[in-house]
Amino acid sequence: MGVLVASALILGPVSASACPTCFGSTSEQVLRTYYLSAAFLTLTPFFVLGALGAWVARHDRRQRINLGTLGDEPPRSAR
Amino acid sequence: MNASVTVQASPAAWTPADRNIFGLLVFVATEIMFFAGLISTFVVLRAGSAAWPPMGQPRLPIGLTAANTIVLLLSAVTMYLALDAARGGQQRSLVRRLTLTAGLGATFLVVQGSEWVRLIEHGLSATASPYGSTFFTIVGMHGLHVAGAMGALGLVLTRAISGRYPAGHHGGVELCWIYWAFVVALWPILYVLVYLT
Repeated sequence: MGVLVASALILGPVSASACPTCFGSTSEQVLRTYYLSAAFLTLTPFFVLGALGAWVARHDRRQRINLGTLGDEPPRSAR
Repeated sequence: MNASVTVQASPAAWTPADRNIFGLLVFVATEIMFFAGLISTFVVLRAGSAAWPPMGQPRLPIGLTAANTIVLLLSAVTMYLALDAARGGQQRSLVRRLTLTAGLGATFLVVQGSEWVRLIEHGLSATASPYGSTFFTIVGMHGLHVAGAMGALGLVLTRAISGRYPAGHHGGVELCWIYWAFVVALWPILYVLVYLT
């Protein structure tokens, strides 16, 4: 029985479209829009976190310049 | 051979003001994701609709909202000038520019509110179609954010009137500017998306 279930799970999967307005749509325009919006939502966090990281790096650099310590770090081999 | 180790505090240590700004930026990042979700929903629903706006639904007032957009953009200018006055320790200019910003923000909200009332009277409903529901959700959420920014601005203005921002202590004004800039920068994107496309 277990072998049968495992075989069914491995050999018989087909894609199931959960959203009728998206993947289930027959319109090319809707599908393209859906893929674009999925890409937009996937990439936005990277841009947002990147901008946040850039702010932190810029802030850190400014602080070091203000304190006159930029470039004071010993070379990596001397640490 | 003896080796000595000197431990120093990080030269780039963060002040409380820096931590406040970072916290606000993290919050704004979550807000960007929230609106990205709303924009994505709008785009997909719109692409799936045969007619946009659907038959029988009122058209959105493009001209009036364009003028209102200019009002909101002007409020960002006055808010920046207020921050500039706070940095320079110019108390009277700070209060005057914050008041002007609050006036422009209130004008934006009042015009948006009257626009909503007219659209509802003309039959635009949040439950009738995706057109109405996305309009009220996106524009309504932005309106709520402007109202929230107005609350923060009111607090900053009250503190400015009582002289709580002397030169070098303008952290509150800076935080208010960051959030105000976010809600103002977001609106033209929503305007083009919801009203013009």
